[in-house]
Amino acid sequence: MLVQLLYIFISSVSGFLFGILLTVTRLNHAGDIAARRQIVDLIDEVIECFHARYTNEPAEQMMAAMRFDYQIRGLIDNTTLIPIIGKRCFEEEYTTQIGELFKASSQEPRELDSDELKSLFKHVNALAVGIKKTINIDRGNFRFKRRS
Amino acid sequence: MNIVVISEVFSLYPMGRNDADGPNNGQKFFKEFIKPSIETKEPTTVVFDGIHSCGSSFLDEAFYEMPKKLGVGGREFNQLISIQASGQAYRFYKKMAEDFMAKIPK
Repeated sequence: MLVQLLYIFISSVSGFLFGILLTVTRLNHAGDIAARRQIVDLIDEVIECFHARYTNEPAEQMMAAMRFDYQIRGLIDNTTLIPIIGKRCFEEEYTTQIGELFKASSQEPRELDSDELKSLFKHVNALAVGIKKTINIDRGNFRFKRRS
Repeated sequence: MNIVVISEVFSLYPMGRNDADGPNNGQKFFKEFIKPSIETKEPTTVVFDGIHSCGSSFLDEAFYEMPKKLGVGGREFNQLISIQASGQAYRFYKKMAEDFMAKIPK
């Protein structure tokens, strides 16, 4: 009888704790989705700036280049990603991919013909797809509360 | 040892290769701050902390194209010029600059 009561008690408590854990984790994942979506939007803006840098008028190219540089910095400074994808993933895969995107912008618009430009856009679009895949990686530490 | 803090002595927004790209370009930075160090063989540390953003064409021009054009060997350039950066974004720019420096033929 005592053993049965003890069994019921332990089951209830562990079920209760599991429920809380599941709720907190789900809430946490909802926060992660929002943070990831924000970065995806930023990547889309960066790619838009990249295209503008190579397709618009010289004065607009300059403005697009400045916006591109500034947004690249925003992607690197985005520490909200670290607890989601994990510090190591952020410092290695993510930073390397952002670095590739950054280096791709070192070519001057005046030095590229239309075929080279097409190839550069293809390369950069592929990089953007890769970065978006990386930000969906889930190697962060287990978190009870999302830090804002 | 010279210390060149880009944000203080040059610009908060270093970008572009040459004067056609704007006043804060890589060629200008190289001529004003790096070339003299190479000529006098004086080690120089370039500090990235404090800048607001940085263009890749600026880094490519100042830390790869210009030393290559000047005929400085990669080994000598890397011995004379070092990069310092402490914040997260600045470490990114340091890594990018060092990647460009690593491409200079030995």
